[in-house]
Amino acid sequence: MTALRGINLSVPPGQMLAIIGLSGAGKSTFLRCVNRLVEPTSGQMLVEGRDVTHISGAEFRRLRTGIGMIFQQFNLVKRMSVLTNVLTGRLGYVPVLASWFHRFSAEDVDVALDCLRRVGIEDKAYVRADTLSGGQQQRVAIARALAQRPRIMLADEPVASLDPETSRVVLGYLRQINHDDGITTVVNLHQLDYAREYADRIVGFRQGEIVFDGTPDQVNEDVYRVVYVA
Amino acid sequence: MSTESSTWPEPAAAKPATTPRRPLGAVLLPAGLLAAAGLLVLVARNTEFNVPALVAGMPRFWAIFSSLGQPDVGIMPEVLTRAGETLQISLLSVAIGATLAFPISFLAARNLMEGNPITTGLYYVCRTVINLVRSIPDLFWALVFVASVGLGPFPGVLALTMFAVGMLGKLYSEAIEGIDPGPIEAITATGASRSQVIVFGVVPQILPYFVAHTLYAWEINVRVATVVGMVGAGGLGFLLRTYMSYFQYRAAATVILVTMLMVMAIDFGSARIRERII
Repeated sequence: MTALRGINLSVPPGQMLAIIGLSGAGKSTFLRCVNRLVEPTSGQMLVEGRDVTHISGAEFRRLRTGIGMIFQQFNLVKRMSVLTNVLTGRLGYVPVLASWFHRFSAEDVDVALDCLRRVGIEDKAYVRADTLSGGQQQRVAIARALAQRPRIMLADEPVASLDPETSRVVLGYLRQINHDDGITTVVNLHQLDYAREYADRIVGFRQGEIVFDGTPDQVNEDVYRVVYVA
Repeated sequence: MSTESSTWPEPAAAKPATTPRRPLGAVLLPAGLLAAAGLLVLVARNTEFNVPALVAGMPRFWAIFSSLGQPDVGIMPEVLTRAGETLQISLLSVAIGATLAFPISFLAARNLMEGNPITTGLYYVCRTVINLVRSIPDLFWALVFVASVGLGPFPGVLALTMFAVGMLGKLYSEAIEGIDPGPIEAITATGASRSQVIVFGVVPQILPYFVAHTLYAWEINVRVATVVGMVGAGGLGFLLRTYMSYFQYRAAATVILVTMLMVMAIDFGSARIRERII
């Protein structure tokens, strides 16, 4: 089966783009094609003007380091401390051998602590990741992505496991980082109202194809029907 | 091609309609039971199952068994020395076995190896090696090593090492296959190398299981060490066989009692530690 068909999408630098659509519409697959957690079977993916569809080795790792990603299930390593989890965001920069022994330079630790400060949980740096609430874990995940010093941020259903209040906090941080650092952000959301509230632009996916592309205030009843209703 | 459905709970599958009971079952069930009973009678005959022989043997059985109540404490120093030997055989073999099984288990974990024909091939090779090692009974390993390197604790160490490698290779690799793939995906996405993904995404998740499985293997190894001793591979088993073959039942009783105490103590201690880790 084909998850995506004839997608032609260009995201200008600094934009906060929300992709909406039903579960199974191909949003997640699309996002994973950007850093090739999923290999596209055909087509081209250009990142900052460069075709990344076939790069490999160190070049491929550098591409991934420049792209932060956060996930619906946070995907922290539960038994490690919050700080060590954030430090894994530095793995693309540190010497491999030293990292095997969990040795990070003072600068890397400073970067990690600074990223935790950005999301307001530097006081949790030394506790185990699984002692935090869902919202806090997602903020640690944002800090981990920030520690990569990325130019692009991908967020795959970042608030689907969170309550509405926490969701706004998390989306608020993503919006703020996008705004303050100019990090191009692509976020998959299934709630239309969050997309309208936080994004500069909304793209609707349906069965692997783009069925809407416009600004939040262009989203109306018809768009809703085209994207979500059979 | 994967889709994003994995990030969403699947809708509950519709329950299959229950098939109405067929009257045929009323005939098949008694027929099946009858056939099974017939088979067991046949098996009992083939295994020379013999109640009169058991009754006739009871006095001798009792003579041996009751000697457990009057162990020969005079040989205690010798028994304790041998118990120490058994303990050391089991410790060394688990240590070597765990060291060998550790790297193999990563190569024998499907979730780390699939997605590339070369690593997938290596996965099947390692899986097969583990299964081959496991399919050879521990006593056979002991007989082979006694024949190769002579009597004593050393062939016991070698035999139990094979046993530990097979057991831990399987347990470790299954622990790896049971981990949460989410952190692995997340750390891969940071641009980390494959080895870094293993160090940060896999090892922290499996470490407590590895410690628990290693302790468990040690528990089993202490027991197996006493058994393989009977074919000349050192330790308490060797002593037990010697006393039994000279009909020194009270001395044998001492060996059995010490074995029981040692195994129970280790099981208890190890189980306590394992509970605390996981």
